[in-house]
Amino acid sequence: MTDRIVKLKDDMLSEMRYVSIEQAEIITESYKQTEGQSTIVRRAKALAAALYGMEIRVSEDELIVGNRTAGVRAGVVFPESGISWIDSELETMHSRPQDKFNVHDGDIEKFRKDILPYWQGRSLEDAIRGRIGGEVDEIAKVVKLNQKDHAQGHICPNTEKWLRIGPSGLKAEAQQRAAAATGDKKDFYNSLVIVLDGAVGFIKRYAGLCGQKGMKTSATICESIAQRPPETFHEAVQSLWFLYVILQMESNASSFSPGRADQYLYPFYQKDVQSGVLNDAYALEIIECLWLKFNQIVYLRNSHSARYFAGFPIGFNIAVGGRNADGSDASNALSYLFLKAQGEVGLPQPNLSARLHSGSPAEFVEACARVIGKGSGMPQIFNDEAVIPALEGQGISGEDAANYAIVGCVELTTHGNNLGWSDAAMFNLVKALELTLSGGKCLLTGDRIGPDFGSLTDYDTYEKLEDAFARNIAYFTEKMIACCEVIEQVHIETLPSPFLSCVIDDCMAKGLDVTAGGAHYNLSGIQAIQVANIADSLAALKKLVYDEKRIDRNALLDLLKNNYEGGEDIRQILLNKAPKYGNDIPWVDDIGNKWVDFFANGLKSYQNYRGGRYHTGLYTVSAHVPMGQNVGATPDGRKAEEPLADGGMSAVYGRDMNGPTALLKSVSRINSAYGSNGALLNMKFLPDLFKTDEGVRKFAALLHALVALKIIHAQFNVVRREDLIAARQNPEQYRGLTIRVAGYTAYFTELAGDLQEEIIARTSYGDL
Amino acid sequence: MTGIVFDIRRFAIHDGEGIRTTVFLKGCPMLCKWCQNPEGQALEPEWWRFEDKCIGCGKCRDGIQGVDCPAEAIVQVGREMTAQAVFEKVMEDKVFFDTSGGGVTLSGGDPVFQADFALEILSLCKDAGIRTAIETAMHAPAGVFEKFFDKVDLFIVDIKIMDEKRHIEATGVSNALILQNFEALCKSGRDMLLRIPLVPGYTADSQNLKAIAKYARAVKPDIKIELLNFNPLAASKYRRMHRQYVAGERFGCEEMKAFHKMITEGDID
Ligand code: SF4
Repeated sequence: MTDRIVKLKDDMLSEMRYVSIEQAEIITESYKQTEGQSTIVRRAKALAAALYGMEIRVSEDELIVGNRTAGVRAGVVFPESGISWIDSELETMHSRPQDKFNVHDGDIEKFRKDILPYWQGRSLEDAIRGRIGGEVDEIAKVVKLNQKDHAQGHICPNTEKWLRIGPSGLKAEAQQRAAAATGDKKDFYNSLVIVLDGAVGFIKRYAGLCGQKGMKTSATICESIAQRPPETFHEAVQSLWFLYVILQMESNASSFSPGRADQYLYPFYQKDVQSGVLNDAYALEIIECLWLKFNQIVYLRNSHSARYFAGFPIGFNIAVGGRNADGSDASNALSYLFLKAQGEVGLPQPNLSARLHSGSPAEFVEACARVIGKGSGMPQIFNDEAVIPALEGQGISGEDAANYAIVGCVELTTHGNNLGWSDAAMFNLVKALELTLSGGKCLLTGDRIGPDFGSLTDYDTYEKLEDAFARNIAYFTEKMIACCEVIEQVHIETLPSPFLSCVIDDCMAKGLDVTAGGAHYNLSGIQAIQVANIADSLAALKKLVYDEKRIDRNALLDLLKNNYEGGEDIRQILLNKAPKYGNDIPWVDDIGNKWVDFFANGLKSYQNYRGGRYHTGLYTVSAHVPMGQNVGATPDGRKAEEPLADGGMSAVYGRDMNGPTALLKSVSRINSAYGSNGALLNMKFLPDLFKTDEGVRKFAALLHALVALKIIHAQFNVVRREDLIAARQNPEQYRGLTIRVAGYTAYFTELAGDLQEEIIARTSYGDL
Repeated sequence: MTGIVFDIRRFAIHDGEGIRTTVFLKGCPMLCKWCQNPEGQALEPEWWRFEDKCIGCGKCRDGIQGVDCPAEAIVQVGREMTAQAVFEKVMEDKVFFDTSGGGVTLSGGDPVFQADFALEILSLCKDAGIRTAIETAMHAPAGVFEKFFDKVDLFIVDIKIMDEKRHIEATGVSNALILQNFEALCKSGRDMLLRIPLVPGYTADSQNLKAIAKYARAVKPDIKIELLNFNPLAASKYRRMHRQYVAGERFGCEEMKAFHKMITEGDID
């Protein structure tokens, strides 16, 4: 890394994190002045006001400028989506267990006086609670519904188009269409013009500030890209960054992803290298400046959500490599520079993903392996051979599927034309199984929270148990879908997103906002949680209770209710005498697949509010800890409130006893078609494996095998246990230590204690 | 046919090329005092009890042999398996062998001790296109050892002590057969790797190392020689088996360098 990058990185990490209410004040002021106008115009004007009015800051060392707040890593308060939770948490924001933020003196008062009163009853959060609060709570233990207090995000905009015609070109298009439009459509196009004007103004303000600070190059670049499309690599990267800053200012959403930036930036790079104005060293420095920028925007979540998504992942996901629609390999010089930048900078963002396919060059796979070996948990690996068919199975064209990108942590999307709504909900199948065994009563509280389709005592055959499980799943699925529809409706009503609509195909052509179904593809993703626990629990029931009759049904149900109190011998039998998922035992793995299949098929009969499909994902992010706290004792010998298996496809930790190859074989039995919304497999290796070229090659061979096995995703923590323990004890000395949590990387020392422990406990491979 | 297997490890990455599955066959004609797998020495299955896992159910009051312990605190070391079953287990990682150039490694014990069983496993694997390796100390009748030549792609062999008297003291057998087989193997032109285990007080001295290196190079000038650092971790197994383990620590970096010098200088004189 150059001195510039080292300094910028250090400055950034040592700056304190604060809650910022600046934009909230501007938005509130704007909304007060636009009463009576259509929501989309009000949203546009509020964004424009922020673009013209937010304080901005640059630093002399930066090659890429711009942020959505003057301070870095600020927690932005965003009133339109919901702030009542902020009101109740402001005092504890600096001390909460996960994702702490400081609060400036006086901001609490300002917030309560100037902002909060205006938004009460008007925000997305309040509207949803008003309409379906009761329904949401009723199913909350089984279904965690998302996007109730923030914009959806998880979107890969059409960056290529933004770079090709720039904000001025987009504005011209919107103006032209506005001229011929009437009614709502006219409002829509006019809103686009308002936000694009704001975008140009925002970029020009940076040109001015850079000029004042003597940053001539950046001043010229900003001035140019405010008026015309970028022409050089440096201009293109700067322009890309402004796009993402403004998208965040509009939506304050978790994850807008640049996607395959190595592909669409390549022409700029190639042209500059050919004309001699760019060499790889300079290109790398520009890329690393962008990489740092990705770390300057974090996402303020409520304390509950911060536990599910610990470490404020913001999901600037970049995918390198992969194949083209014609099957040829797509990796290029930029793919390697991106990997290099990741190896050097080693921070949580961007969330770097590598796309592998059967024709990936060995050189590229080994380059990925080497960066993985450095321990930042990146790149995470995606497998074209599994992802592309899975997406095609959801009605995506071959060309769009081949050009897939990753958003957020591990969610899959097409490029620039999809509102994937990938985090609609998480469905806790393990809780549904609990209710199947208990006759609808929560084992933790004894309360009735589901219908009584019978209990373990009643099911005299395994098939009867399966039938009841199926009925429970169907019951909660139906309730969940009803809620999802209302949530989407409220988003349409309260959070139309004109700026985002500029860069999602077909919104402009249809004259329809992205939230209202303007995108070419309109999916909704529901996560099936959690394969390993379902497979282990049902395998234990099938073998020990039904086939061998070694354990009595009534006795087992009592033990589950008592959290195995006084039944340690039975618990040990359940743990040890029934095989577990993750050990390459087909019949056990097939149970996991069977229920994912059942769940996914159940979703097929529904259509989302935008007219698109529901499909499934197999990931929990870090939600396996809180979701596990929700579930009583399970028949696999797990005690009440213990975490579920991590990741999504992983085995329950400590239960995969036959090494990484057996685990991968098990995972490969879960049909990757059901991971079309994304899947997640965590693996941990010891750094020793990466010390020799031979070790790197063996690891690369494992990646090639993963491709052949059609496993959608895997990510790797490469870190020694002792280092993690040391970091727990001396956090100050390990400020920069990053760890793969679950589909994203976070600073280890910024994670809550229970999550740290959980990560330390995950199985690790390497020196067998 | 069947034989006794005491472990099958997948993702073995230190026993030959690529990602391998190592099958540990029970039984060994030697009794090295430092053996890393003392449970592999006797052919008969044995039972171990792991105190820390025991939940005190009382089932094993009358002895642990054959007890079905709920907590898996009692494990049976060594099970009878058919060669076909072993082969099927190995095949589970075929995809990894294919992408890594790996395969199966037979270890032990000493795989030549259950020669017919080992040969059948190797044949099944070879017929299925899986690359084979064995780890052996070569103490077997010449007629038996030679049967492996066609079935094994890589021989990982070890010579521990050059001096016959010291060899008998430390391992219980003379090294005459070993050296004879070593020479035959070298002559056969098979791929091979010679390993010397470093054991403090037994093998890790200048005189012995130089003598082995000199001898091996005289037989096969281009032979690859690898030193295996001492691993004190086997001590817990010896405790469990109520046996005495040789004392010592892993050698440090400097000492390892010195040992390497000894075996390469043997080259020069
Ligand atoms: S059978 Fe197992 S759990 Fe029971 S007393 Fe013996 S060792 Fe302990």
